[in-house]
Amino acid sequence: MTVIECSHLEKRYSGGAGVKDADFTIQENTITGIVGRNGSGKTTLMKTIAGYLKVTGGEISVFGENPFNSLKVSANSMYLDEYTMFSNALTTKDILHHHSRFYPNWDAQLAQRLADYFSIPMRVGTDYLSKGQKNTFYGILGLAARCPLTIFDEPTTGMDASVRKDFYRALLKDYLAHPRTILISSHHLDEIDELIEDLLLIDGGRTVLHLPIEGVKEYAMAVSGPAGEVKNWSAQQDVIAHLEDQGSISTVIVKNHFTAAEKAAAGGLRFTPVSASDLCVYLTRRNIGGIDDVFSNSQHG
Amino acid sequence: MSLATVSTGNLIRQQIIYKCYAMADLWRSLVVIQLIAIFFSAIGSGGMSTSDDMFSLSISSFSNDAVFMFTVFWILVSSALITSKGYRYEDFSYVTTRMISQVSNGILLLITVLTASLFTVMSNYVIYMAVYLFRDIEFYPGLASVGAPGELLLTFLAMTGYLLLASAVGYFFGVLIQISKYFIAIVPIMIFGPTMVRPLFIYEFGYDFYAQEPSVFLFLVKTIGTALVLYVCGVALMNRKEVREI
Repeated sequence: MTVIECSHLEKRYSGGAGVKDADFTIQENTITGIVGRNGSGKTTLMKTIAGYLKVTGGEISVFGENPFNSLKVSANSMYLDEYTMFSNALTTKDILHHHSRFYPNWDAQLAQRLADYFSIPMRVGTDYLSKGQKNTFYGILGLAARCPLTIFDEPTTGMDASVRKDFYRALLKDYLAHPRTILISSHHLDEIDELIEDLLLIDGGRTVLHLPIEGVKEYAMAVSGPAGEVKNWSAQQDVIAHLEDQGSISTVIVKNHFTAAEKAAAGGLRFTPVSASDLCVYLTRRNIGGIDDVFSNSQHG
Repeated sequence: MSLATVSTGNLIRQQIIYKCYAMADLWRSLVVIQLIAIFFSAIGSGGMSTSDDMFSLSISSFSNDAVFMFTVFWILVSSALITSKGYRYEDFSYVTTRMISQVSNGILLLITVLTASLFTVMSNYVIYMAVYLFRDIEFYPGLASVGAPGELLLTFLAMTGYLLLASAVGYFFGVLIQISKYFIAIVPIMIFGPTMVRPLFIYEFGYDFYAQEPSVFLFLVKTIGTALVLYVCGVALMNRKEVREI
């Protein structure tokens, strides 16, 4: 079953940024990682899916309905980020209790056990939790609610390394036991590439790539060697990015759809696989050059 | 995972239960503000004294008017606050739609108004007791203070009418501010603008239309009617409003 379907989705703010052209479908019971640079429109896209925001163009359907003001979508989805709000009159224990009234699949035991494990104080309001604790707590809510569609927007912000690892592990374990559709955005693709099944890359408000993570890992190759040879060989290829030259050695990132014969023709060039997170960096590079260019014309240069 | 089907009615109920807990500060502030008003009332408002060579007479009157005025102001502010971002966004941390969120707000405000009216009527007895215990004076109870049940019901209904009106005005004002911050300036101009031409315009209108109404039934029709119109306008305006937009 298709859970989310976006066709040329557009959500513009009066300020300008937002989502410009999102085009993808997400199937039931998959974990999709939403990756992109700061300000690329990840959060806007996720909030639109959750029904918080009104679209300004294109179409979106979640569980077959427009999510804005849809009870079906609200009852079956959950959006969590670090700004999720709860009244400070309620303790974390109260909040867990109230969730059990709203979400039919709520697993109170799991919530309590996770809260104990992560040492979340149970007798205080969420304002008294540290940033990491707060996000861990929201993560627990997302896991225990077992919503058919759970959206985590940067869930690990502020968590320390071991909590982060545990959280992802808990997420995976619970997902395997109770499959559901999960969207998770992160700045650190390295951390979630073991977890996610599909990757949705967004850049400048557009969906750039939507592939199974295995496909992403094989999507491109880095080819390096003497500048002239690299240039000659890559002339016939789909070049994604040119890296900074290291002396006379030049490196290009090319799409991995060249033939064995073409590879053989490359001779002494070196082929190395490109990791998913590196690929995302290359695909979303601005044309104005790298960080080095910022300094090259200044007094530092 | 199979999809959950939920009924609107049940969700409104769940949201109201939640709000009763989450807005504990609302109830707490009602108690505090009424206690302050009761304290002022027990000191006594209004009075006259006269004396001659042989005697002096001083009359102080005690009433819960101050409690009522404080409560009107309190419900006005509370109703406006309920539309603020914090409360609206919180609803969306659970299951809701804009409609459910607003209907539950409306019912919560109705419960609050009824409670506040009851408290205000009852505050008469507290003032009566305070005066009786702490002031060494001869006491002549009026009709409203220890009145017959019918009298109390009348007071209760009238207060409910006024509080509902104040609540709806506050709610609508709160909604307007959520739509645009400019309304903070526009609304006072719209309200007090006509007073440039006729200084007591609002007072006269309110007095003639509501306060001078001799029939309690018609008074309630007028106040509840006005409150409903304002509330429905507020709901309609908010129904297209985005949440967590920044």
